[in-house]
Amino acid sequence: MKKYLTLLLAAAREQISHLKTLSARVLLMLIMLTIFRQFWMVVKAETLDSQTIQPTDLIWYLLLGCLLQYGRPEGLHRRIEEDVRTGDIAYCLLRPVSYIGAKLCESLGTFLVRLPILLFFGGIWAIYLSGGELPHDFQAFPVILILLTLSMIVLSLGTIFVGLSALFLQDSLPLFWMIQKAEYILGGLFFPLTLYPQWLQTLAMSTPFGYAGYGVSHLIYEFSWISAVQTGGMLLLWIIGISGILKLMYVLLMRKVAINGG
Amino acid sequence: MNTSDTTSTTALCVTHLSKSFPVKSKQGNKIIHAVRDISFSVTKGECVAFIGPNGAGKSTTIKMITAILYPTNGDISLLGMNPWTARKHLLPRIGVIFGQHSQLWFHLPAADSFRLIGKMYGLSNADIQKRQSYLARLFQIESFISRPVRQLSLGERMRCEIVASLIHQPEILFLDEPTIGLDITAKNIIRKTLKKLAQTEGMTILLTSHDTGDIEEICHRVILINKGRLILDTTLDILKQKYITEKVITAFYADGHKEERRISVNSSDLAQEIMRLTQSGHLSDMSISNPPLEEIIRSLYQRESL
Repeated sequence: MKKYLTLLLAAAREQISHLKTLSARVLLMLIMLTIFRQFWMVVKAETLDSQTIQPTDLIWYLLLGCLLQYGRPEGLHRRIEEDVRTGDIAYCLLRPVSYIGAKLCESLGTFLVRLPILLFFGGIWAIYLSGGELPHDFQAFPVILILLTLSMIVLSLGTIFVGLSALFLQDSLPLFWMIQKAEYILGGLFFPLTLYPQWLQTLAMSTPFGYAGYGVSHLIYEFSWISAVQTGGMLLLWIIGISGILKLMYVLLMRKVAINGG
Repeated sequence: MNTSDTTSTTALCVTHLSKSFPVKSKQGNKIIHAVRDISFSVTKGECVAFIGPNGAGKSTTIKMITAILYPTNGDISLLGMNPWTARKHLLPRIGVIFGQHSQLWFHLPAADSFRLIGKMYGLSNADIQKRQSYLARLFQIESFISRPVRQLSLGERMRCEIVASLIHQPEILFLDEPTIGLDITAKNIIRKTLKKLAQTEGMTILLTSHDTGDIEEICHRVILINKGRLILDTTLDILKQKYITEKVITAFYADGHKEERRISVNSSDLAQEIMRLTQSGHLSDMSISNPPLEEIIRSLYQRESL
């Protein structure tokens, strides 16, 4: 495990050297929060159940979604696709670490640096937008952050899946778009799933996105230990499941990959 | 040489190795035979040049030996193990450098990459630091070891690449065109240091290069392949003796100009030629030498392509 920890720390260090990119992401997140706050102010009376979900809760709900979106490294699927297409992925066999493990550490290292920064600025902005109010279950924040990290792992494994799929699809971009949109919609990034029709809610919760997005974010205004444990358990199951699929894909890929000679 | 005999002194034994790639084209599927039934072995501590023209199958062979590619046929025994089934055990004992493929973290200082790679091999911080200092001194990289890799010149980066592949003190080192595109200073540092390391640490080296300077400086044995087939496996000395067909006589004159004559080694005209050169002007010096290794290898390539 030590070597993976070292890789994670290296990714974190590399991230610190990219503060300009990070500041752009912070700005984008603040704009998103502002736009959606205005949007909800207009539509809340007609669409939201004012007994359970308050605008303040929704701002924090969206903030958690943004942490997941902006906390992950950008272009990970593209880099993996490039490794697959050029055959560079095979060179990773020369290192005594798993390729998938290394990519996951890259994501996690990036996330662990970005998370406190995004949370700091996003938190201040969310408090400002909600007039100094905190969300209903703010005391559950530490648990939510742990679950958020599990969500990040699930979604990163999904991105690795997209990148590795280049072996079969040549171009992974269409699949990436599909998965990204599914993540937005089925993960309930902009709207809690409870606002969706029942059939869509059921569909969303039968995918990893439902638990990774809404499953974690809604705990900020509707926390219960049962819900938290269930979400954590499901996320762990998805991590195990997707990891297994990735391992199979990787074995298949290493048998198929061809590298040019010199 | 008996290639099927794998003893404790054998670092590498390749037996009837072949690799074919299916290639799709407009005319239909085609099979490219990159490597065809090659066999050779390398003793521990040997420095062997694995040479051939472009597309000969050198890199493909190294990739099979280092378990990057699956062979189509044949066996490989690397340090007594099958590279594909015992990769985990082998990796800490081998080092690999592909001249056109970086293993360093682009945005991090080279020193950080060394520490990361050392950690991957399970080395302690103290061991990494000790080894890094030693190699940094040998390869003269101390002045830029703390700079991000993206800011290094090609020669600086390549020296760092080699240090990275030596950080875990491998028993056998595979170098695939390590000096490609480098200036003479960087080449010299790399060649001399690799030679020194091979002598002091008993490291086995298998080198592919188009630069005969690398071969002459580092290796004592040459394996030549072409079109995927093994053409020649001999020592550098025998190669020179056996394949040198002419001598080069160079006359230097007092007025600064020089004249060069090539004469067949079997010719009886040597004395006459020397006489002619001495009479051509006021002679200040004269040398009789072998043609450069590059020429010998070029003539071998040409002979094989006929």
